[in-house]
Amino acid sequence: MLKRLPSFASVLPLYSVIAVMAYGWTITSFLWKLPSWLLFLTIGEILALFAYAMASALGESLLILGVLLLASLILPAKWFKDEFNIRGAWFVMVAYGSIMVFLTLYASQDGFLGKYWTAWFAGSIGVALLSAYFAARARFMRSIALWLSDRLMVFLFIFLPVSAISILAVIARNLN
Amino acid sequence: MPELSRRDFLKLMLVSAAGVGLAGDRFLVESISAGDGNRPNVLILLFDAMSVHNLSLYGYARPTTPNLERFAGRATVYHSHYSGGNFTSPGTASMLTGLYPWNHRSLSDRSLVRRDLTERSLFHYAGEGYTRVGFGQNLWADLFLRQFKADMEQHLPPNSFSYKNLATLVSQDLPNDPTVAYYAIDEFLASSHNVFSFSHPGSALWGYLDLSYGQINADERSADYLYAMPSNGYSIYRHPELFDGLYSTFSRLSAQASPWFGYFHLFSPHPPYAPRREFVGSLPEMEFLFKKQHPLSTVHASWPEIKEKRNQYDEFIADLDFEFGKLMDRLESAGILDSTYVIITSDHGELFERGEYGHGSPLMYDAVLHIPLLVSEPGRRQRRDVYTATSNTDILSTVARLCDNPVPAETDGRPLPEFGGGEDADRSVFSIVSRSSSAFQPLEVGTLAMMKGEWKLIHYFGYQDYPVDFELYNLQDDPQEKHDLYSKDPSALAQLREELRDTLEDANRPYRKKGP
Repeated sequence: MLKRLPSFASVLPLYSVIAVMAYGWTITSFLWKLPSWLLFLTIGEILALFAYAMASALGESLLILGVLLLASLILPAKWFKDEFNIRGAWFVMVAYGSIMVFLTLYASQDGFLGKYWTAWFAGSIGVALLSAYFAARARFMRSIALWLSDRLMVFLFIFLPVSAISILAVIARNLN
Repeated sequence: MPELSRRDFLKLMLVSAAGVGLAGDRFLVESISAGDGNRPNVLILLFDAMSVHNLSLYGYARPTTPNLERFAGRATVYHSHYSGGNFTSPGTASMLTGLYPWNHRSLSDRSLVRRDLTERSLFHYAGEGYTRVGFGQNLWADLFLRQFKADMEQHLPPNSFSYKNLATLVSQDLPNDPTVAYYAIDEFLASSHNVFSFSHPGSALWGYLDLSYGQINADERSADYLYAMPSNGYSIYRHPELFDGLYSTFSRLSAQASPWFGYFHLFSPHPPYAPRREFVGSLPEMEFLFKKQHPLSTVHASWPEIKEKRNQYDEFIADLDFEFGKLMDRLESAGILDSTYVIITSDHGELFERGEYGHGSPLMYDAVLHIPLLVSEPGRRQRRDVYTATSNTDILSTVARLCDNPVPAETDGRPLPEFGGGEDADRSVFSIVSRSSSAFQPLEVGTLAMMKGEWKLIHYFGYQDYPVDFELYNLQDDPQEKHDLYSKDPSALAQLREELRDTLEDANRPYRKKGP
């Protein structure tokens, strides 16, 4: 069973891509909302809120990684596992990125796009699958995925410890 | 005393049992709801964003509230009752804490009150002998209930009695961290689906799933509603189910041995105005007084648009009033009104003039501040009217009295006339909007209104490019506030202006940095 999973050396770079997207989105949104919170929340409350955000970003990034690992378990190795890092990075960048674009447009157009969420979702997954398919064949796509995942790994040294502390803080706040 | 034979005893038992059976629910409720030394129950039923300007109870030409008028026949009706703020957060907090917004510090949207007030709320002063229940169908009101939960025996979630949820409200399941969990999860991480604002959710995946969930549930069309279904942004509700739920809750509480205090903050008639189909077009046409657009209007709506919104609002009130009438009839039949003080009020009004519809803008005209207040006491069968100015900061002291507890010293309010307080024609009551001010800093930008006797003074402070400082109206001669007397009546103005400025200065003093 474990043999069907990709090696740690190819999981970690892919995770770094996912993590940078998840944490990057969360931190950007946090900074965008911060001025309004500063009007009525104390610094302690804002830090607690940040802890929830970091715990959530960790959960979200692990969930996405988990789905990709599950896919590599189910699919033939040639389709996904053998090029896990490259195909996975392109799939995530397109599908997850597309969700982010949708949410940005949704917010900027006062929810107008909301009713097209299913079409957008289907289209995104389709394009993401195509890009994952071509990623292992086109040299420039391959290079981009490897270059990015290699360089983004450094952020894990910040994200993971911060999230660990955040999870402890969230648990402490919710204990009786 | 004559001896009772076995046969007589059996007859007596039979007759008693039949009597109990015939009296049914009413007997049952009466016998148990009086509970605990006959202390009465106290119910506050609040309708969000209900302006006296649109209620026939207060003289509006359209018959929007025949059932409130009927209820007024057994209540004290307050004709000059004002909210401390012009939108939910400051207005509701003023009632729940007995303080003006500059003292409770809930100034901005969905904000909290000062943390040291969490055990000085209306629920606290109702006292521990009561079963205290809170329901905030408006999420911003529910935030206060989360703050005051230590003094509540039951906190009903805001989607209680709802027809369908539009969002998940995860923080409801985190009772040990209810406020921060709300801001973190429901308003930030998964906040994309909210009919009142569209913002980036803090979690893209969570937000997208929440949005999808909301879209699936919101897509339902109902033949009963022409415009939209009533919604608080997190759930869809329908008046009949909501009021059935309220009746069941009141009956359940009345069946307990101890008296109860209930704060039920209903979302209607807050926008979106969503009357049922049978109420659309049910009210007679009428002409509205045109008032030109105010420079500080935030909506900049056209006059036809304002009139259309106002029609929908009136119809929504008529729909609400219909269900309110049925509820009161059921409570009366069950005998619950005979042991319960019922307080009907609102947290702020609604404005349809000067380019504005809604509430919470810098405009502080009467329609958005002037709210209904009716207090019905057990056994009362005649209407009383009080015309002197009262503030919704008075509710806390009044409830303390009704619940047989001492009136707290730290309050800006006082017991209402007829319920422990006297009428004071010289009293000044205030209302403020200062949405962009920090809760921890002096008030920098806002509008402060002071009502005193027949006069109303409005003070604009800190607005850029808006040169007007004051407006003065005589509410008795000019209830529509058409004629600004600021430059015409300096003698009346000077004293009022001084009092208002002193009030603002006192409000800001604790927050100013001390000099070297």
